[in-house]
Amino acid sequence: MPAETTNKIEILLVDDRREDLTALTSVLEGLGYEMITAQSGADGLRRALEHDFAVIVLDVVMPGIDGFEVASLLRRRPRTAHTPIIFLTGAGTDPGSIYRAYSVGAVDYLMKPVDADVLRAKVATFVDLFRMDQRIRQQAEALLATERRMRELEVAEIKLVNERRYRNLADAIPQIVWTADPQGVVTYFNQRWTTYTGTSLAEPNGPKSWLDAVHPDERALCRLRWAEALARGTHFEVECRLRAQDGSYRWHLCRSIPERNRGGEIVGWLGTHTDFDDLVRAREETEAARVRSEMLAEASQILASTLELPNALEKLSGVITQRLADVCVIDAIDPGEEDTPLREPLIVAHRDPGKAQALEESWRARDGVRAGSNGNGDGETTAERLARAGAEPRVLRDGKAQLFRELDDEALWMLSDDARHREVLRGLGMRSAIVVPICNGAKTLGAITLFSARGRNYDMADLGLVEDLGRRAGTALENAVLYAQTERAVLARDEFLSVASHELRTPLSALMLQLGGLERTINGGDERVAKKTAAALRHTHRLAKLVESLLDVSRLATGRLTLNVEDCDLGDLVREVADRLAEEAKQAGCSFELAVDGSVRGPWDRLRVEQVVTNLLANALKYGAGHPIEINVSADPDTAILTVRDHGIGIATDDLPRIFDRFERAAPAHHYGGLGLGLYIAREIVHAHGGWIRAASWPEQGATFTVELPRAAVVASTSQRLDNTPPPARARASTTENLS
Amino acid sequence: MSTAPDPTILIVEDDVDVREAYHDVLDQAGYHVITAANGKLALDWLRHTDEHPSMIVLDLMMPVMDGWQFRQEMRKDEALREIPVVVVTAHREDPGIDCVARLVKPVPLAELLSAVARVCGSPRAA
Repeated sequence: MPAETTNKIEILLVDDRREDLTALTSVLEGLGYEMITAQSGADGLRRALEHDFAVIVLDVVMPGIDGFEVASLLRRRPRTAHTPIIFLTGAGTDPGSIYRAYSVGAVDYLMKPVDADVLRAKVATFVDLFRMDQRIRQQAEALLATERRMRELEVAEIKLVNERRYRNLADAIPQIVWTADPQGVVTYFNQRWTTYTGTSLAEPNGPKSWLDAVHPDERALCRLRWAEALARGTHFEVECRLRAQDGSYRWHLCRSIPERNRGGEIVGWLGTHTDFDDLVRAREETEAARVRSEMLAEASQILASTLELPNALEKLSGVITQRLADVCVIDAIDPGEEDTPLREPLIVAHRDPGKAQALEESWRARDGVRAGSNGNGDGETTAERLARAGAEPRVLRDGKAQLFRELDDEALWMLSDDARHREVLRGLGMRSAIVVPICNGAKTLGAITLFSARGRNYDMADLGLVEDLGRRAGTALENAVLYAQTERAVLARDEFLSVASHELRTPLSALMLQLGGLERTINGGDERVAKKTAAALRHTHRLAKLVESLLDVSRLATGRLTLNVEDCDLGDLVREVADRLAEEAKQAGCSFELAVDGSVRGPWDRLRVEQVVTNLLANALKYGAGHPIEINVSADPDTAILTVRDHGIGIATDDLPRIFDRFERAAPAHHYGGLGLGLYIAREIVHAHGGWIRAASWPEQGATFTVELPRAAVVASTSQRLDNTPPPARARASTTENLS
Repeated sequence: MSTAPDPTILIVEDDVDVREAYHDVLDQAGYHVITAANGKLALDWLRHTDEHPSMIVLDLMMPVMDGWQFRQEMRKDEALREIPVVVVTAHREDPGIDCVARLVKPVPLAELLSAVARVCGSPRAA
């Protein structure tokens, strides 16, 4: 640069003789040089360190450090390595010294006394060189600086383009993107952030951090994690809700990673927020649906598991308070008295079992007010209050489900019976409620009322679920009503059978005695009359047996069969029955072929076992007429075994399982008659003894009935059996088998 | 009287037809039969007669005084305590009453006669 050339030119003059220095100074004076003088080699070296000389004029012969040594030291220093040195020496200097002078770095050599013009010319030459060199160096530096600036501009432009592209990209993606400095202070939010939150960094009161938009519930956690990530320089990830500009919140996955330079130093943070609210909602929906279906399944199981409805409804209220409500009130008809109007809630349940009783008491206490005659609180007139007093909850009248998202005063009014009841409800601090009917079709059998104090308020999905529960409870309640009706009908039937058979016995007694007396009076006199009398008497006996069977059925059905156990011999017992039925066997064209294997004794009810044998033999005579009947009595140490085999029509495979049921028969009733009770009674008596009875048969080839009776006392002297299940002590797969 | 009188049997039964049937068949069999429609009437008769029956055939379910009450009153009375009682019940189950024999309704004639004969012997002539 031209300006640089005006720099001052400094020249160092070194000579131990002052007059020589003065001479040199005067020669070079006036040429625009600045001359620095030194009177010793050491002084010269020191000056050379302080200045940037264009040329050094150096006397060779000096005390101390001579010119050669000074030159040699100057050459070793980078600053002076290339500074031109002109040596001065006395006349008569030998060529060796001149050579040495050049070898230590001299560029020229002058003899003393110095020719002024020569010195000036030489110095001027070196000064020109120095200037030129300086200019070249300055120009090179300038060139370098320009190049550097150009490069920087290019880089800046590339950066700008990249930045713009990067921001465009950030604005184009659906996520929120931000950048922050190493301390976490946000430096940039993309467009999505502004659109979503309605805030931007450009505003004076704009967000300081993305944390400003985080839901208060998650903010503390986010702040903590973010601080940890900043401190450790680690990847950050958290799920939180971000506030949208309309005030609503949506779930976002927030991530941030540190940006590092080549040295690994964090230069900033890059963050994204990805909206996955729809996924969360779907997840919540799925979870809610799962909870709902689980609850329905549980409720259905409870309701289906028993016909003891109050019990089941109490369990149901337990499930509801566990999963869906803080308070659950169930009004329901009593299945046993379905026509009685509802007066009191059946169940009042609280999530907190400790509060349940107090709640129930205060809940039911409202009835005191309902029945009382004074105090018409809330401005209600006495007439209105009385009109409401006897009234059932609205849902019971119209069967309509109601959802009270918010329990305001109006809702409380609709849900309560009176002022005190309202106070009870208010005191519970409930926020939301649902009322649904317990219904079966169009029939309303009760109501379920749910109150929620915490968490979210009820919505339509909850209403749907509870309505479903109400329907299921309704079906169960209707079943329980039907069951109670059936039970009552069965009880009435058994009662009737018992009374009827008892009432029939009295005239039968008179008839039987009178016919017996008549038979004796005739005493074979008039054969026709005697025959008819005998027939009448036989029919009377049959009638008596039928009446006895009916009574037995009612005894068995009501579990009133009692056993009078005594030590009996089964062989003797069978023989007696066979003898008693000998006449009937003869008439049926049958013979009894009895085989008894020794003495078979056991603790049984003689009359009842006789009844079993009688029924089996009568059955064999009925279905095996015209063929012999084989009767076998045997035993092992534990069991007495009786088999009765006929060779009659047999029993079809399909009929085998039900021949021991009440009022069942395998053969058509119009051919064979009878009430179909003989085998049922036989089985029940055998079971009451702890024994087994089974049938094996093949069509048209007869049937074999086998009775096993335990020989040890497995039943008390009186035993009651309420059902038809076989005794558990001797499990068998089946009581019937088919040999065809 | 050179021979012992026929055994006397007291029938206590509320149903008139059954009562008459007992009377007819036992009378026909040669017994001396007295009948009463309930326990109270039977007890009144027993307390006012010198001729105690050889046995009593007792129904259980009767109005005014039932079989159980009647039996209890009998046992309190030293004069009556030892008279044998045959009970006629409608059920097979043990009625829980002190008796020498128990018959289940409807009672076949042969059973009635054999029970009576066991208790008080056969009459002189049928």
